[in-house]
Formats: sequence, C-alpha cells, structure tokens
Amino acid sequence: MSTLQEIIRACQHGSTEAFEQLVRQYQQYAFKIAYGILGSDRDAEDTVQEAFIAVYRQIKSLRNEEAFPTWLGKIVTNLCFRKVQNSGKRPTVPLDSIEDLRISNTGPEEAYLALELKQDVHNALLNLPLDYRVVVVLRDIQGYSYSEIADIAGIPLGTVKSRIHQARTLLADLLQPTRNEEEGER
Amino acid sequence: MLCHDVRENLSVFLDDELPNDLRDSIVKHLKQCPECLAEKERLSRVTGLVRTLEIPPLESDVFSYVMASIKQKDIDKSYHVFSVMLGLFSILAGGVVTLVYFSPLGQAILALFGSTVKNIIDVGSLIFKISSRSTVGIQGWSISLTLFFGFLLSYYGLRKVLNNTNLGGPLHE
Repeated sequence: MSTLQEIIRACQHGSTEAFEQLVRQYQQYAFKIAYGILGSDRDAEDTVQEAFIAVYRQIKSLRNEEAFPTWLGKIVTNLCFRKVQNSGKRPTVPLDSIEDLRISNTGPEEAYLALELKQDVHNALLNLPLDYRVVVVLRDIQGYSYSEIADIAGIPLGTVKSRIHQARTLLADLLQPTRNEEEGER
Repeated sequence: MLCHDVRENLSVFLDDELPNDLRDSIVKHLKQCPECLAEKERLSRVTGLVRTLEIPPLESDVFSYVMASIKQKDIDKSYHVFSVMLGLFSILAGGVVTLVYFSPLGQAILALFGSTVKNIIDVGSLIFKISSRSTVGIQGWSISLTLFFGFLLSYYGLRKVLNNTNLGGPLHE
C-alpha cells in the first residue's frame, strides 16, 4: 500500500489511479467537515465533489505532501463558506426557534432521549454563527489542532481560541435543560 | 488566578493547548472554586456531545462523479476556446478580404507582399546557383541541414501546441 506522499506525487504526475485512491481515502474525511458545517447530506456531498475537482486541478501546486489533509480541509471549508454565503440563509434546521432546541428531559424511552439529544446537539450546532460553527467542527468533529485551524480558517491563533470558547459557551447555553423541566424532575 | 481569567481559558484547557504553567494554575484554581469547576464540567459535557456526533457515511461514488465532471468541464472549455478562435478567425479573414479588395491600401500591401515573395525566391535560387558551383559544396549542405532542422522544430512545436490545447482529450493516462 502506498504512503500519502507517494500517492500525492503520483497524482502530481497525472496518475488517475492514484487520484482515485486519494479520493477514496479522504472522501469521508472531507464529508465530515462539510456535513458538520452545512448540516445537510446533499449539500455536503456536492461540496465534497467540488472540493475534489479543485484538488485534481490544483494538486500540482501542493509543495508539502504531508500537509494534504489540512489543505483539503481548507478547500472544503472555503467551499462551505461560499455555499452558505451564496444561499444567503442558515443551514436547514428542523426546529423553528432556539427555545425548541433545549433538551427535553421528559420521555418514556432512554433510547429516544439519546436520539433526541443527538438531534438537539446537531441543531444547536447549526444555529451557531458560521464563524463559530466552522471552528467547532474543525476542532471537535475533525480534530485539527488550534494552529491548523488558524491556517485553514485564515485567522490568528488568538481568534481561534476565543471563537472556540464562545462557540462552546453558546452551545452549552442552547443545550441547557430549561428551568421548568429541571424543577419538574425534582 | 481570577475566575474571569480561568473561564476565558477553559476551552483551551480542555483541549490541552495551554502552556504548562498556565495549565497548573487553572488546575489549582479549579480545586478551590466550585463555580469554575461547574463551568468546566458544562463545557466538557458539550464538547463530548459534539465529538460523539454521528456523521452519516458518504455513500455516493465521488470519484466517478468527479472524473465525469472534470471531463465535461474540459469539453465545455474546449468548445468555448474553439468558438472564440473561430470567431476571431472570421473577423480576421473578413478584415483581410475587405482590406485587400476594397481599399487602395490593401492593394498596395498585396503588391508589397508579392514583391517580397518574389525577392525571397530570387535570393533562394541565387544561393542554390552559388552552392552548385562551389567545389566544397558546403553552402548546399548547410541550407539542406537548416531546412531539415527547421521543419523538424516546426513539427514538434506544432505538436506541443496542439497537445496543450487538447482540453477535451483523455485524462492524463
């Protein structure tokens, strides 16, 4: 099995087989970022396809083969930004208001509650401002380091730190059980 | 360390991206401050929830789509280039015809072109005559070799240009 460096070099020399290997190896990786930011299977799929078209056309300009995952992350994130800005709307959230996003602690089944919680987490994430959502997705879903996020999003390291913190605080507020429900439990 | 400063750094603390001295100070503060500890737990919980978010698998054949899309875009581009070239050629050809047949300047240029061609032919035949009279025959060989390499260079140059503009052709391999 070829290493990433070998695959990238082969792609730079025009090997379609190597490009296929690269796509199959990194498509889910790219999809995770796009899905986290856009919140829709179809939009995320379109973005991943566009991202790999860009990779095919620009791979010769990639100097450091090991930086490929970060480079791909940058392409996907930029495309997501463009998609959200062009559509002029926030990603689709099934629930209408932030109040609806608060976790409901009442329910007959634990499994149902767990499912509901996951749904709530995703909806809360999609309700974050785009800049905040991007850094949280890159950090917590994709696992990039702060310096990699700074590189991908094109912002200073200090801004990455503050955005991640503000995003998590907002998420925690959105996902906090309502006071009435807490009182009802007692 | 003040509560405000600790809370500002809690996310970086959770992500283990703090320098050791600052990290130790926060650990020390958290042992003494239940409010900051509760805030840390709150952020830790939400971070855990996001990290365990399920991402559905990507089921479509991205590679096939990407290759088909690249091919289609290249074909579209080559049609575009072809139509632009055709348009430019038509304009140029139209311009030349107009210039030659409908203006005195065009007729002058045509006469100049004709006399230039005639002069080149005369010079060429003179060189051949001189080279055939030469005992060494070096001029004849020089002309032959120059013509041969000239044709060779033109052929490879033309091939390269055609290859570069073959945008709708097969992919690299």
